[in-house]
Amino acid sequence: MDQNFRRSMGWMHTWAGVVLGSILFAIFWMGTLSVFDSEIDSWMEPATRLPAATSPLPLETFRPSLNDAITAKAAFWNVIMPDDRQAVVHVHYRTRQKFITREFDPVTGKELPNSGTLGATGFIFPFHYTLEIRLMNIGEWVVGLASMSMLALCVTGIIIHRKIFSEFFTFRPNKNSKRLLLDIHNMAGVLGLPFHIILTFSGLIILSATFFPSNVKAVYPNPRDYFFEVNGLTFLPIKSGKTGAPVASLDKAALFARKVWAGAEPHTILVVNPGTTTSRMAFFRECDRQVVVDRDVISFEGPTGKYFSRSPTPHLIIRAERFLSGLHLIQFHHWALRWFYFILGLGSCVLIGTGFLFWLETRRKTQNNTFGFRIVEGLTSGSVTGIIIATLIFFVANRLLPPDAYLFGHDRATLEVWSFYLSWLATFLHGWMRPRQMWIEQSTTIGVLALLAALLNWITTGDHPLRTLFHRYLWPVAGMDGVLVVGAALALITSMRLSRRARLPNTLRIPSGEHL
Amino acid sequence: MRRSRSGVFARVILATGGAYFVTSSTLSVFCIILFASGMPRVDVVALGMMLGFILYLCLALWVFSSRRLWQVLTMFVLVLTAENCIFFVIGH
Repeated sequence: MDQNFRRSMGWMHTWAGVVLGSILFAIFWMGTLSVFDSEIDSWMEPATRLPAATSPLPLETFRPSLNDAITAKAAFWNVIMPDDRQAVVHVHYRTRQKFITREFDPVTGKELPNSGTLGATGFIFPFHYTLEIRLMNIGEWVVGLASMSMLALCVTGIIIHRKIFSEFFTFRPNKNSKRLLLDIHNMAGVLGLPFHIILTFSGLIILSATFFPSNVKAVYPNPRDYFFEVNGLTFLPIKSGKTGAPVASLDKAALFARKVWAGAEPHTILVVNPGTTTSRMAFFRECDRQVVVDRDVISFEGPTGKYFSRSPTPHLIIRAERFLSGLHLIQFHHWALRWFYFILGLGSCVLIGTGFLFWLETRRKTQNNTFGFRIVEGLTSGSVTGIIIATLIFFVANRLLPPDAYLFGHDRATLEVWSFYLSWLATFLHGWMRPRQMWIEQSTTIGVLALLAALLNWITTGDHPLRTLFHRYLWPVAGMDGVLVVGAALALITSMRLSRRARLPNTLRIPSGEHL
Repeated sequence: MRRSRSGVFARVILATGGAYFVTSSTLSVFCIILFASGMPRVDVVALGMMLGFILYLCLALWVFSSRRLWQVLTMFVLVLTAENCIFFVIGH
């Protein structure tokens, strides 16, 4: 290959990586955690740790909350039925002021106390694709830019990687730290390459309507129509009607839907504009036995309960698109694959992290004290170990804050999020003020915090590892505690090895050689 | 690799912004032509989105790899003009 071409690609790989690496790490880290979002939810909301019900509750059980939604003039109200990953029933509705989530016991139908947390589905998962910057969708655009650069980084990474197969089997843990970092970077990159590319690409496709609005506008006079058509929601565009109308029996409609689906259960039940004369009920079929997310939707007229429409079978291209988004959203039921996603996601995080560290290591000798180097070093510590610390603080705060915590006009859920952001900010400052030592100190912090989180779960809920392992419904908690303890062990070992090496005299270190 | 600061800046702008606008307008033309030739419009848009990211990627890499930046710039301007003409003629 042309030498100049390879060099320009190498240049792009280096700088796109340094500039957007922090954002990429945040996206991949939060995405990796989102693989187990329901499980993290049940860890963070002890009240929802309940055995699964044997048969679904009648839908009329949730009528009181529907009535509340009608009184609050909600735009929609929905019920999400329990599945293999979460035992409780979730009810959501949006009033003029805010989005309300209520949880119900799957056996008795009683409402569970407010958990006072956003959990993984309310904070970690949205952070993954919006960075929690809602203003003008800036967050989504930044995520899109970072994802495009991730694709470019994958391609340029292959181009600059000359001996892709021979180096694939090269791992030199005892050589100098720079070689080791590059070897880990290459290994994580090559082993997970299909994963990095497919997940980045499918993630872009999920948000594609945000990124290419002109594409939609070219053939749709109203872009919303595309959204409705591509998602099989063509029953949705309805005119607002007069208030005061009832909502017909949900169970009767559900019976009809079950008959059409030959016994399959609805997973989500949606009522749009509840309480108005033009309201609609819609039943979304469960689809956790397949990768493709094509939920069959049957809709009914709200006030009368009369059958309205059924979503048409999607065309081939739409099925392809939904297969790709299904690969990303992992709504299918498969435990082994889910763990595989989690491990590969951590592999992506390792890839990005070691890329950063390699950049620092190649420049440490020559530019150790330059301003730019210090900036990147602080940025790296905050965005690699820092976000892990912030997430752990989020978990610890979740266990420590009293149920009715209220500070400076913020409720408990907001305080948890603040603890995340403040500790994240602190790690950036720490990395900037204490170059070199911060890796040891932050690794130790990760280890201690992870152990603390697992321990606090035991103390505050009484669900210790032996108990969680022997009850099927507590396995999510056991899994999370297990990951915390293993992570703590890894972090502590790392910090011990690092501090041992830091104590070695300088002359023993192998001087850095070539420059990228 | 040595590069002038303004050259780097120009490349970054051209790779992110320039390539984006070329992709976006190419997609619009692609959608209009396929829709006019009888494909259902949901399919047209979804297909365009999927191909769009690949086109964007190729264009961005081209910006960074080409030796003469003005060639890329001329190409982008030509393509954008041509596509906007097509868009204007076939239109909605």
